[in-house]
Amino acid sequence: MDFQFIFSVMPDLLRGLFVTMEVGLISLAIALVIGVLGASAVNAKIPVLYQFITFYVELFRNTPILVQIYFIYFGLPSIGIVLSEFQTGILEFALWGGAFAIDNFSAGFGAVPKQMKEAGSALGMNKLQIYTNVIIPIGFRNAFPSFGNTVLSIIKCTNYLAGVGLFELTKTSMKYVTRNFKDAEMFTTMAVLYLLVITIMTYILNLIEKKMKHQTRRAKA
Amino acid sequence: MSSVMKSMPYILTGFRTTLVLSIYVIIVSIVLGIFLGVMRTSSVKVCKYFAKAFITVFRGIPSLVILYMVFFILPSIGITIDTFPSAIIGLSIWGIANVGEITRGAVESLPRQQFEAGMAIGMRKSQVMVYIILPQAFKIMLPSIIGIISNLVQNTTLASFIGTTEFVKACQYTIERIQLLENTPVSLTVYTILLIGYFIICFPLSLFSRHLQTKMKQSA
Repeated sequence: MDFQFIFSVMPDLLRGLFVTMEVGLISLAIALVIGVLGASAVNAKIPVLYQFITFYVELFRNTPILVQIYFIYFGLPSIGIVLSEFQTGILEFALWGGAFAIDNFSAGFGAVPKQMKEAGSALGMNKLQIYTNVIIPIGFRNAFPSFGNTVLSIIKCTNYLAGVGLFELTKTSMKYVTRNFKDAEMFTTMAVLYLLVITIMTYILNLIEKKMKHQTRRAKA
Repeated sequence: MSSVMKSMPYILTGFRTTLVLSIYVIIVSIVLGIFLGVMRTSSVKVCKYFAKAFITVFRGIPSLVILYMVFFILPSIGITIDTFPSAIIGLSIWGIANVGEITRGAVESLPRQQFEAGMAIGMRKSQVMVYIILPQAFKIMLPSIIGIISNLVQNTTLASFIGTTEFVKACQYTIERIQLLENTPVSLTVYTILLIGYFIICFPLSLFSRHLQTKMKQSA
């Protein structure tokens, strides 16, 4: 194990990790918005929109990410949409994560007990108020554990972007594997960095989950 | 479009490779994954911690990284294998870890009394596992297993990174060839074919998984 070498390429690897996190977190934020809005539309069964969202979710869930990325990066330019590697990443993972988030949240919104909605209408809330004050806050808590899995998937899957040449963590490390033949060093470092990021993210997600549970309990008491 | 139709036989050989690769990976992942999941729940410390470490590590790092590890590290310790077998190994490792985690969840969700009842009528631990626990656990984990199968099929696209000529790679070669010979851009058409091809495999799986889930909820 050549630690000298690992330290010498560390800044470059960290830059790669930064790109990974940048793509991951920006698309995550967009996916969250798509998820909550889409799941609300699914839950309310708005006619045409409902069918469209179902089609969108099934399309993204049942085709490989890599093919979607290639479609965006190589396919779309022939109809005049040219995106950079970074923009491709954001678009792809916002849409892909959005599709999974819609699935997570519509399950969560669906699991809100009927009595709570009835309690809302007994208090004189209208449909929109029940939505924003009852279904979304409680459904969000229901959906959060499965949404957490989607978050981790997005972070891990950003390395598919190596296929279109974005220098994120995997591609940056592979550069040193193929150029300097330091495979053992680079793979160990790469695995450690990914595990570190995933562990920290899991910890943060658990923390948020626990905090929300605490709030629910306090609201009940 | 007609030039794409002419290359269809070549694209279909790629599709065949994807199917063969998927079938190998699915079988290896499920068989060894269930074995790993049982190890994870066993009371033998060595087995338990090995399984725990395996699951944590290989679920934590992306499947592409695992694939690269297999492809680059095996030759450097003197084992030279082709791209196809290394794709099978790399993708299976990811699958085994995930199936292991699902098995653990299913086994642990069963009530403790099931173990105890088995022991009480004089079964050995392995017999309790095989005849009592696993059949029930399998019913619980079936929807998730089908989800993993769909994921494994989708993950075979990664084999194109290490040079297996599967569906995606075959399509890319086709695009390049048509571009060179006839100078017509066909990437949009070919990538649409790719999307449809994978959708045809994965959509029935996701429908089946959802059907099983609703059935399970009704029976519960």
